[in-house]
Amino acid sequence: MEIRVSATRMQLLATRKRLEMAERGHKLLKDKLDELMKHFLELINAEHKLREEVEAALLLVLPAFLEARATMSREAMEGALLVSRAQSKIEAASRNIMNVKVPELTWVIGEAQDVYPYGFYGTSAALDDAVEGLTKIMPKLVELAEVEKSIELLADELEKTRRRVNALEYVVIPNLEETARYIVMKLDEVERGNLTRLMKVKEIVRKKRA
Amino acid sequence: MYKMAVVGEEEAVLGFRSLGADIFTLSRPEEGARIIAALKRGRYGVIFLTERAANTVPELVVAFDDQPLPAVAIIPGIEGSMGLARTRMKKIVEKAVGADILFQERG
Repeated sequence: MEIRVSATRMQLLATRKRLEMAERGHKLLKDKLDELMKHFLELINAEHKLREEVEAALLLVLPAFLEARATMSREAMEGALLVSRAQSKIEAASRNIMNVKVPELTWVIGEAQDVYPYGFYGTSAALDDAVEGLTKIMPKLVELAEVEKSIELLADELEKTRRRVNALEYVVIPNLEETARYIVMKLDEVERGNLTRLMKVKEIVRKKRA
Repeated sequence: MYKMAVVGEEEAVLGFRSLGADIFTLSRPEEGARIIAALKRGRYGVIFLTERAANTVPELVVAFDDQPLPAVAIIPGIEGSMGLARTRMKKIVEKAVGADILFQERG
């Protein structure tokens, strides 16, 4: 890259100061990146486990609803589910991972005492089982959603941090180093020029005296 | 308090109705925009998408990517998992780390 600074001692000092700052920033950001990565990997592992668990459970529960529907009339089924008084709500707090705000979600079901939101008349036992099964995995499902969201948010931050680290490491710091080197060489050159000029002048003076 | 939404084909989302989640049935891609708009209007904390819905309207998956809430999660439909959720995670990891470091050995 082209270097556009005046080769003065002032500039050299300023450049060195900036270099020092950049290096400190780089080290800090790199630490942040490592730490973020640690959390990220933990979340990834958690997500993997949760997903396997949840998918296996869902594959049992969702068809159970179909089965329930097969054993009772469509109207009865729809009726039973539609009158549901249950209210699934999500309670959200937030947690701070390395200055990234990630959600913390909890599944709350209103009137939880009564899981079966319908009367016994006209509904089959299969429906009861299905509803119970789904109720059981809901907390896990919500946790999965929370973890996946956290991964997403952390991934964004990771990417940004990685870009900054790379920019510092491969662009800013080498540039500053080169600038400093350039100034030093230029100053040395001026110094040498000065020296030869002095020697020359001295010689002329000596010759005149002689 | 936030609400919970489930988007997907009728048979798969049926059960969630019993838990009092907001249900959006989706069968054609044209319905996607309407549902996204409805999801944006409501205060949702979690949105579950069945794989088939995520396939039909891919925008649903990324619509809330940049916001802390709602959290969008893909769940398998009745016919089982097609691995869509895993592909999504894989993409996110690749973007963040710059390489696929996690899923190679697990396939």
